Amino acid sequence: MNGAIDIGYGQLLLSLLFVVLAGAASLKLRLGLERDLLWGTLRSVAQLALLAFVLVYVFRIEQWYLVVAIYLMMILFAATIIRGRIKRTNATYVLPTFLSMALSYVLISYVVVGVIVRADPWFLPMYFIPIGGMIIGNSMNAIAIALDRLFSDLLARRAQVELRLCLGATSREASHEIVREAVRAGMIPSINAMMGVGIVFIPGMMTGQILAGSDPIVAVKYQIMVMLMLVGSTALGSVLVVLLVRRRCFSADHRLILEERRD
Amino acid sequence: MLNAFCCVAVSSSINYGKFAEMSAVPHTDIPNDVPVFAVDDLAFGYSDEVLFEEVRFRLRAGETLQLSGGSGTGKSTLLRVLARLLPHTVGSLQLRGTESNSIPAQQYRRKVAYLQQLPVMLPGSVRDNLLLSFEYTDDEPPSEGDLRTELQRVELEDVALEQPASELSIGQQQRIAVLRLLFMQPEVLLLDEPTASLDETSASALLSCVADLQRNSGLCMVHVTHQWRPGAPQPTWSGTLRRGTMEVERT
Repeated sequence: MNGAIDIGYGQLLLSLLFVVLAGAASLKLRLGLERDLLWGTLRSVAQLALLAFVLVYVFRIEQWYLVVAIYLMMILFAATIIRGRIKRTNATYVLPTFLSMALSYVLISYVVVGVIVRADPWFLPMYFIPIGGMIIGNSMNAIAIALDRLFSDLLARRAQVELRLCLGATSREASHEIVREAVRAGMIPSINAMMGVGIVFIPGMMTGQILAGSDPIVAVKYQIMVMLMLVGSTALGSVLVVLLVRRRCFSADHRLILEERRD
Repeated sequence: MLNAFCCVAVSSSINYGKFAEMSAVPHTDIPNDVPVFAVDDLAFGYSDEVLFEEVRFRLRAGETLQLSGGSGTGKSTLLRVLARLLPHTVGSLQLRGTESNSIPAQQYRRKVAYLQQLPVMLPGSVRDNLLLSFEYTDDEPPSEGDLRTELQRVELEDVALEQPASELSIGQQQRIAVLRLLFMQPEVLLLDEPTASLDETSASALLSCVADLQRNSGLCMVHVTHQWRPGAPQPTWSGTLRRGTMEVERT
């Protein structure tokens, strides 16, 4: 293992040229993006520098509950981030979303790190946190898509849902089809990713491993595991979330109570 | 006061069709003076306003309440409350003497059938749509022959069971929607301006079918409409929603 070639700080400054290029394009074409570019550049540098410090500390943690606690905080953050991407309704879903994400992600991360990779100990932060991060990053998109679809469909197809209710269906029966389509919509992107991987794109994780000097075969083995783990966490996460949140769209006596928020 | 009126004779009808056996034969073990559908002091509102209150009426077998009122007075909302698609805030809703809240909603809605203002057809054939309610019970669905007989009864003999339901006209769809409800053998039928989007001919066809079905079955109806038209179910009661409450009088 020889590791990646280090980048000197002076050379790193050179990469600012890329931003200058983008800024020039923005000025020339009057895109009005200069401020955002500047702010974005500062934020990326600051956030990543902070991450480096945090990771150095996190990787030294030897208590499993601290690692899991950090992981849960990352999940909580993700659960609140997706809020902005979902149709606004009277249904509250942050708590059920957090719970189902936490349950499925902790379970899958444990299986990946402890059972498949066999890191010792199973919560080895150097493995557990980055792999957990990948799971969150990918499947929170799936969950946002699935929830948004659930809400939009229940609202747009209210007459159909109520028709079924009026014909003696329970709320579960009346929303069965919509639930199925919501979960499908959430899962399709990660299935598509399985189709394109290695042909259309080389995933970032594999690139990183190869640059760090890993044997490409090892990198590919990791990547295969990651692809499969992402499909699993996407499926488990979106099924749990949609089933839990569906209950909040109906009353106990099988009325559709979901409404679009009017503010 | 209202329950002093006597029951409309149901069994005297001559033209006993399939629906007479299928739907709403009054139970003989229930005392005569218990109405099929009794609404008392019913109110509904949102957190900041009351839409209507003190709504009360009783329907005995075969009776029809025709409900009118200006737009925005809450006629449609009242029907949705009666169908338990909305909760009533105050008051009581009784089906044959049983408080509605103690009947599971899915059973209640099979007995108090609600016809949406615009017919809703799910993707699929006419047959799929007619048999939709059987997805939710263990009851035996009607045979092919029965389905055809029922289609004739609502003057849809030209419609094929295999035909996609979306191909039918709105008027035809509305009659399919009525049949679909009647397969559940309801005791009360809630009609929310079912002719609002129909032309004159389809409107009359629909209403005379409904009137005909009612004559043969003892079905109760709450019919929201602006005006009675010839051939429509003859109202026993006429109710008007006005200034947040309902006035009912015998016609």
